[in-house]
Amino acid sequence: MTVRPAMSGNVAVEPAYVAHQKIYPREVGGRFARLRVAAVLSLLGLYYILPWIRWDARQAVLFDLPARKFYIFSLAFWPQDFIFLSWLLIIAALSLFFFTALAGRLWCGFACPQTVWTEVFVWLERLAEGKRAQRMKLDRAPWSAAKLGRKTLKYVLWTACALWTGFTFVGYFTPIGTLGREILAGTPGPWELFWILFYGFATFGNAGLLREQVCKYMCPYARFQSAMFDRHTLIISYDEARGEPRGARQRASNHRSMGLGDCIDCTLCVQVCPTGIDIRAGLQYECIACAACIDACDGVMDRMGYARGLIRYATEAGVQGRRAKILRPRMILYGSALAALIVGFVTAIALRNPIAIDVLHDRNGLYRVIGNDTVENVYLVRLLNKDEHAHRLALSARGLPGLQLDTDDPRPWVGGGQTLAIAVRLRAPQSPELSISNRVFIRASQSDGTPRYAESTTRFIAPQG
Amino acid sequence: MQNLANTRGNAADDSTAPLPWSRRSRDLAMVLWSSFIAAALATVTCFASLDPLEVVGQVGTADPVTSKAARMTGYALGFFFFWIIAGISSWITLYLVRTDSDSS
Repeated sequence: MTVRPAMSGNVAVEPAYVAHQKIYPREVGGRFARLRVAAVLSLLGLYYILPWIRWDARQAVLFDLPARKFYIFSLAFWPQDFIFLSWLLIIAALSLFFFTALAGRLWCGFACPQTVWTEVFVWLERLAEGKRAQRMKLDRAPWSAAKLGRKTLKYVLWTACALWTGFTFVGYFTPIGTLGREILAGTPGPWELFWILFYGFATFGNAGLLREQVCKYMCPYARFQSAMFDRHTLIISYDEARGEPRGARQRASNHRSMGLGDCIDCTLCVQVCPTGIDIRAGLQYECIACAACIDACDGVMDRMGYARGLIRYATEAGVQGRRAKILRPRMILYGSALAALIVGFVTAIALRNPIAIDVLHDRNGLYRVIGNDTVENVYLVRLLNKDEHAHRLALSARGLPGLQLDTDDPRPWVGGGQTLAIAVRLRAPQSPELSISNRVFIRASQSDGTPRYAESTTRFIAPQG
Repeated sequence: MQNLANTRGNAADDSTAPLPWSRRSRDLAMVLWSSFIAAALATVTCFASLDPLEVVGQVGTADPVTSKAARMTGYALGFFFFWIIAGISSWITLYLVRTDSDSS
């Protein structure tokens, strides 16, 4: 691959870009590796299992876009509940600030889908092609039947995983049982099929082929996370004062007398790094804080009989020998704002009124005079029951003296998660108090179970005079 | 243990298969990805308040099967529309930044 200059012609040619070198992350064991495996298993388990869980007679978690309703266990959300989604997004953003300020890129190392799926794809790769040294040897080897077989196996495993991921993703939006049966019968909807392939392709590309390059070149968070860091943020640090000067030595030797620090320069920390950086050069924006280098280095320190923690989670202040301050104004501010938002969110959901009413004035006739002394207006009333159980809603109106409500069924049942549109007639006697446009209220009161109501305001139009 | 200290140099052997990530590929990746995020946000906020059926004036008139298909099409077309618009914006921004004579 030749390296092209940045933009031909009118700009200064940027320094030639170093062509990407394939990174072969070395497998590593240790505390943080176990933590990441636990995170990967629980997050992916949640992702793959959740759509199969049932709740009453439906899928427990279903974002039913065609019907414009979201179900999350006993809760049903409607487009009118959009505020909860925005609220949730604000909580998510603030959590990111909080955890980044506390301990750097925890998100990147343990929870980001990019990390989680890359981890799975690396496992599958290892299954097909073996450990790091074997993979590197295989790539260098000339093509043979064995190499073809291993490579094919890898791509088959990756494709299967990617397609299943795409299928699960679409299963959050289309009932997954129906979707599975449709696919087995060869009759999936065109958009369902398209999104399965689209998401499968994205998984394959991001987790299989692009990997750390997504973090390096494409992720905006990687670039601005440093703005949330301060001197007291826990970051993965190499203890330079203790490690330098680095150098190889015999285990039995007294390295202090040789003028060496604790770093034996084995480069294991570089080999395990999924983004291929050397943490000993200091914090770099490519570091996704996966802590693989900590695990690797701790293992080496154990075998050398040195104390652990040459590479460790430490604050900048801590490495410089000053007191680390975890509890600082920034953390208290973020933390309390986050707690307030979460408490508010839960409260708002718990107190959410499952009943709503929409009133639309009939467009065909503004009013009708019945007999000589009564004015009638017609409305289309839409009753919404966001609860999972059916409720009986009694309709009433107020706002004018002698105002009466008439409809075919003034106490209709509205099924759980259903809407009901009914025509409602309001009548009021002609009187001097009646102006051309009057403000009236139509109320739907739940007449079974918890007493609650929803009310909508509308106009009552009357002839002049 | 000695061989542990002698593994130095392996890192340099890693360069077996360089992938073609030219400046142009990186530009493409940045433009596609940043506009993808923007398009996803725009799709969510737009269709939370706007029913695709309203755009074509079909609310309540189409049967459930047709309206399901129509909404799915609406969401997908909406998403790609936003992606294209955001992609154009990202590309223009990138182009302006790259061709700015003041920038280093």
